[in-house]
Amino acid sequence: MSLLQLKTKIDISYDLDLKNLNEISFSKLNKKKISSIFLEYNSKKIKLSEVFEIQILTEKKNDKKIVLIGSNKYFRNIGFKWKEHSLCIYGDAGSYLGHRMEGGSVEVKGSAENFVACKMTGGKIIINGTVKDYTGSADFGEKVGMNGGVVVIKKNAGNYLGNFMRRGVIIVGGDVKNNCCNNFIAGTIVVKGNIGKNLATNMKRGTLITNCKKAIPLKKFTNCGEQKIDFFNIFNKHFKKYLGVESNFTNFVKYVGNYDVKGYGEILLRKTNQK
Amino acid sequence: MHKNNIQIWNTYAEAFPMKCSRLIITAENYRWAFNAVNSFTGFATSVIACGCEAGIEKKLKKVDTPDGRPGYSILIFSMSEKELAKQVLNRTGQCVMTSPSSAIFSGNKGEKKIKLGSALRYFGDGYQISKKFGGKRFWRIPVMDGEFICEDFAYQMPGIGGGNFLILGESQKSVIEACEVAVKSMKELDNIILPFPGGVVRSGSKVGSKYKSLIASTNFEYCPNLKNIVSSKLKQNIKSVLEIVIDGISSIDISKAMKVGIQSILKKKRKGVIAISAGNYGGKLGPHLFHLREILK
Repeated sequence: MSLLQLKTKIDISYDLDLKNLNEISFSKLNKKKISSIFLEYNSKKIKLSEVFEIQILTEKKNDKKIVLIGSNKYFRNIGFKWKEHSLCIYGDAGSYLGHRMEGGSVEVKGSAENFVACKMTGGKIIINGTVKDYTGSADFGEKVGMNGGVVVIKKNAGNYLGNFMRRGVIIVGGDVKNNCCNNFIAGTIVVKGNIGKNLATNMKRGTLITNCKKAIPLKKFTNCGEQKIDFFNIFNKHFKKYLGVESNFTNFVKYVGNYDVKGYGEILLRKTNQK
Repeated sequence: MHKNNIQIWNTYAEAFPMKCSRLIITAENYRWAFNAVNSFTGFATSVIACGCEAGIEKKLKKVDTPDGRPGYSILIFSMSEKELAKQVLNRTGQCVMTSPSSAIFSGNKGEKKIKLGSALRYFGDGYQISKKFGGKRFWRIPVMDGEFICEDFAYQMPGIGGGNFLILGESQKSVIEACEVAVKSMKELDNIILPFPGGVVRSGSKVGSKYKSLIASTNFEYCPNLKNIVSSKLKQNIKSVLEIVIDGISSIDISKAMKVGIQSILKKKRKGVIAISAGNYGGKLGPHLFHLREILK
């Protein structure tokens, strides 16, 4: 595996657009080439070498791992159109993390801002901290959100999680704020913690699996009663590492709706949590 | 060549290319997984009239199945892509989807897809749900005991059918006993199935018949009852012949299975077992020839 390290050498206090960082994954690791990749800092074009100290630690034919050290909330568009190889961020990430991402993996050791996985179509994003609003959502004025791939958020998520989400999986280890699963078209969202207000407004299809301890008002949904969802066996086996749910756990209370939009979306709650 | 008074005839088994697919069927427990598998692989002994040959490859532990439940791996073989696709779909719909708590998944990768959930989903009448992760799509079809989970596609791969060997003996009892020993040892192997009842066939066939409408008829050379009527391959002391047919993924798998099966018979003196032979059609049927004496070297 080839290992490339990018370490910030200046203090970043304005928006740094890293859209062109994906050029690294298309070609051979060449320090000169990497240095000349253009980024946008505070609305001005600058070379990558002006922001980062570039070090090629190992170079082999197969996989590439790019390590980014010293990032903060101003680092926008990390993993934009990322296709293959892995990207590891030691620090926080700004908005639009994994924007239009197609494959490979991105891991953020810290937290991320808004619009994580916006219009993502493949690959995997792991965020060890929290995320702000619009994770897996459509961009402003658009109606198709996340369209594939996996996002794992180990702590809390903000508002509008999965807004207009169409495909893919989002797993949230902590709580989610308001307007979760609004305009949800399809896909799977797992929330291990509590969920805020206005859940699943205009939800058409898709699945929300939750371990929410609070009672959730689901007036626009039909209670289908306690059900054995065998599908969860496969899901749990595949995402066991992130779910931490005991195996053979397949019993849920199923709600179907939202009937405002004649939807057939499903919300699966653990029986003991619903009052 | 002989061992423990059992002769190995200097002949070969002739096998032919087929299309095959591996499927994994799971259920709440092994009993119900077996019921589904048994139904799926029923009436699938020979392509002559069943459309396919199918059998249980192995029992799978919970950790080896996609949904972590008890299950079995099965192999299904057919002569054409179209027939294989038809058999897989029909048998899944009628034998697996109908079986309580069952689920079905593809057990191999390949470029050629066979419709599974992508066709069966319509049974859900609009209430089916698709889920995609890990590069695979699963269909959740509502049924009366919950939901039937089904992978979107199974995949076709090349296979070989018709590997075989014959056990010749003084009595039906002694030959059956030898077959049982061979089948038991061969069932431990991966990548093969023994499609006939108990792994054994008594009505070995030759290609063609004096009746024009039949594509296969009794292999008279090995029928003890016809010894002095037709040009028989059997000596006077041979009164019973049984055949073990093997379908496998590759020629290596078939020759390994033949070796294991024959060696288990040759391991000790078996009263009444006279010789081991193999069925062939003079090289006209297929390109895969398994010479008994070479296999046993």
